[in-house]
Amino acid sequence: MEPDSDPESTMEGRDCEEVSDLVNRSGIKRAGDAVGRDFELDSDKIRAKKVRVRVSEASDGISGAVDGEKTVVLTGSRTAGIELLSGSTEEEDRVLTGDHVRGVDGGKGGFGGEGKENAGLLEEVDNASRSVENREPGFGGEEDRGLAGREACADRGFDLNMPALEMEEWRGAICFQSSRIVETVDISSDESENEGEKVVDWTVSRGKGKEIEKELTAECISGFELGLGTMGIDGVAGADSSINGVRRYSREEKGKAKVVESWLSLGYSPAHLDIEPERQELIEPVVSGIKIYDTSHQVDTSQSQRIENLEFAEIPELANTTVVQARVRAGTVRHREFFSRQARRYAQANARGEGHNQESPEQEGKALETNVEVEDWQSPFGTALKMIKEQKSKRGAEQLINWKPSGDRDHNVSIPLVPSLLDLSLKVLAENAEAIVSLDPVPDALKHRLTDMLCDSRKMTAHVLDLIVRGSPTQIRVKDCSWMTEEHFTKAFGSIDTKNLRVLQLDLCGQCVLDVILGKTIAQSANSLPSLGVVSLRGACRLSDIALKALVVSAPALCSINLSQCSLLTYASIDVLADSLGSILRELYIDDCQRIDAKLIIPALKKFQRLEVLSVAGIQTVCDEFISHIVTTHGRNIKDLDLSNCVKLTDNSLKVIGNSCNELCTLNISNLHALTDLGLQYIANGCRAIQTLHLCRNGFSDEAVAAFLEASGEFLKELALNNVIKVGPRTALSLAKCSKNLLSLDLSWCRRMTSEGLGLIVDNCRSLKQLKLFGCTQITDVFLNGHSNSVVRIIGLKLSPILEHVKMLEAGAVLLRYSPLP
Amino acid sequence: MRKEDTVKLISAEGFEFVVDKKAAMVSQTIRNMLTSPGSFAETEHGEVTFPEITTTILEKICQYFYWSLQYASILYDSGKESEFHIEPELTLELMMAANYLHT
Repeated sequence: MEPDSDPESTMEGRDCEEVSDLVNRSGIKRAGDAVGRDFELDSDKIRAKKVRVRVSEASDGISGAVDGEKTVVLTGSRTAGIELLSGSTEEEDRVLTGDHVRGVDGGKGGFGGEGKENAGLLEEVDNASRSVENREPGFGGEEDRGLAGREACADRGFDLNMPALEMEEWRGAICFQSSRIVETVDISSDESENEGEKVVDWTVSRGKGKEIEKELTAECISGFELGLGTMGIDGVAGADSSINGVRRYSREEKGKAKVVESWLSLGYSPAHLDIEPERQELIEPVVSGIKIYDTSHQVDTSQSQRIENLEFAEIPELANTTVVQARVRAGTVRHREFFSRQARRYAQANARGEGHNQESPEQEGKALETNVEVEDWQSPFGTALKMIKEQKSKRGAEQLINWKPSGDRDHNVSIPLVPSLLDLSLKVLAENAEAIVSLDPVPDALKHRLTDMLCDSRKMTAHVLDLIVRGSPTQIRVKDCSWMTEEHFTKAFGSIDTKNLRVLQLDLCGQCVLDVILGKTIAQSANSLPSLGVVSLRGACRLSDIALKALVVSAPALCSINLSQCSLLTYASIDVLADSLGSILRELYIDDCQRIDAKLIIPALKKFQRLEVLSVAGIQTVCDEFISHIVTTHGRNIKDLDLSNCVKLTDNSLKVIGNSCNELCTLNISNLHALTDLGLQYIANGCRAIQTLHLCRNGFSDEAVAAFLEASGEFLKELALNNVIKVGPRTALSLAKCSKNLLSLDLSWCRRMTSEGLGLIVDNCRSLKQLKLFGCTQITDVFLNGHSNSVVRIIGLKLSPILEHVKMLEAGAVLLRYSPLP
Repeated sequence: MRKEDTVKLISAEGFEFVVDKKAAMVSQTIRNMLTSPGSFAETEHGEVTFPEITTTILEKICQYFYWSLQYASILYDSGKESEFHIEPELTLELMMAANYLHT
């Protein structure tokens, strides 16, 4: 038996009152640990009771036990999900704040509560002890608790103080294959529409999905005890039903992302309150890949079951094995210890590293409030969101998508792309590049394509380089100079005629571009590059500030400069650029230049008068203040902002961007996990003409993305929702409705998207050319064979060559992205 | 082949290649010339001259036209792609001609 107090994880001193209130209200009890404890709560009164929530050895654990005293003590390990209620979503801190029933699932029909988001939670469930019982609605003011409360059981004379042995077995039966399982428990929230019914669900990862949502009637509860006894015997299905009375709050419900492994923390920001807190997900752990089961709440649970069945269909074999393995595991206490330690370690690592849900309580609280209420209902985003919410409340999400695969198979056959003669001859030319004698008559665009192909196949040589620098070239583009040595460079560029050179691209040139060499060849003297408008020296890791200055002096007409990954540059080079090129520079890329301190370059950046493209991706010192300064200065001109990986940015930056950058065409906010739906709202309301939006690993909710699309998605040509895991049917609907100009869509890792949703999107977005679906193993042939769009290229689902499709939309001969090169 | 279904492509040296209209339409440039509402001289006579394209290249281009027409059906039938072979010495000019003809 587990000892009552687990010294490592005891957490006391938390606001006992609050906690006790919550606990009492929700009647949470942890069955596993607290088997022997009685738990009584008045139905209409909140009585403080001592609830001890304990970490179960298996890891997560917070188990609550009522000792009949007046204080509530929460103990839990850091990794354990606290399954109590709501409100607080702190990760490490298991504080429950009493304001919201956040983690409580409420919602219609059964699951759910706010904040029950995607099951980011992986908890080790070695024992069922994590289940927490939820109270019946009889509780003070809370409706829809849904779970068979102990009280209810007690009323019926069931004794849930089951002997340890039985519990063990029971637990065992529920164990999973892998040590990490996500169990989600729904606790009805305050706002649940269901009165007095229960929801219970014991979602025991895989196999049990079928019964995730079950409404327990009083009768069901009676079956609870019996069920428990037969737990071990039944297979998946049996176990399910018997677990009805036991609940656990998944960590996510509380908004605490607990990640057993850091990469599994699917970007939950703690403030990810669903605007419609209805979904519940179950994340399957590592062993079988990650599957997220979306169990949306519905009053009509049969539908959700259907969905679930659909999703579970894929893993029948797992279900069978779970029971067996569970039994095996049931007895190993030491495993639990190990796992709980491991889990703690992961959770801490996660806290440090990813920062996915590392919001401070106030921030979360704030975000909580603001997420739930859209700031301005009159704004386009606000009205869209309102409509979406209304729509959603009327019927379940899955019902909204009525898409059937087209019966006509001929319709779907993609027209095979006949390779063009140009491509074929380029290929042969690239293969025989050494034999080329002259490339003089070839137009620049074709030379560019040729060199790109050669660089891709690593056949680029000094010979070809000679061919392209011969004469008086207007463009020299080598996208990969890593093969080039200093001698090659000196030889090729030492004597070139640069008077007509307009574009110079020498990417990945770290090895060959040295200060001294640059000075001897290209940047020989002032004005030696009179027509140079576009220069790209990505990866010139040995280029220093001084050499850059020399380059700038030689090229007074520069409009676009790409200095990504030039790690030696400091703020001084930006000063140089601003002083010489302040009035003409249009594009500045300083991705990953780690030595450039964002704060120090603010004055220099303000000096640019025509800046259209700014990319500061990866620079960690970029903060809200920086964005605010820059954007307010350049707001009207800026058309392209790349802020990916600047992790310090918050919604405030998006607010400023939304307010100032009305002409914004391209925005990349990948990997910014501090952003919330509110930020998306600002962008939707401010940047109405946005054409390219790159999201990746952001924590936006399905409704928010959908509302964004409806408000401002009309001109979107390229949309990436890579790993924005909450995206689902609602977004599919909005895409189908609003994004008629969409050319490229990336829904990789959006596991809540269904085949029907995709079918709807693809059939309605007729200009869609490219659809990326990496990691979407939930998509079936129903979609692949049933959609009727013959133009779209779907990449990422099957093993097939993708390079040509991925590059399909890359612009060819573009010089400056948003204006002509003077 | 009836006259109405064919088009004459004339190379720089004056060689004339008579091909199906459908084949010639593989080239976007030729397609535009032949189907545009304004009247190109080419539309009226059904002849297109290419003063920059040599005979060997033009011949290869015509071969490409026919190959591409049957590419789809060969793919459908056998599942494999048929290959269009290009002699290396022709590639450079062929590439530029293909670029011009938008094919």
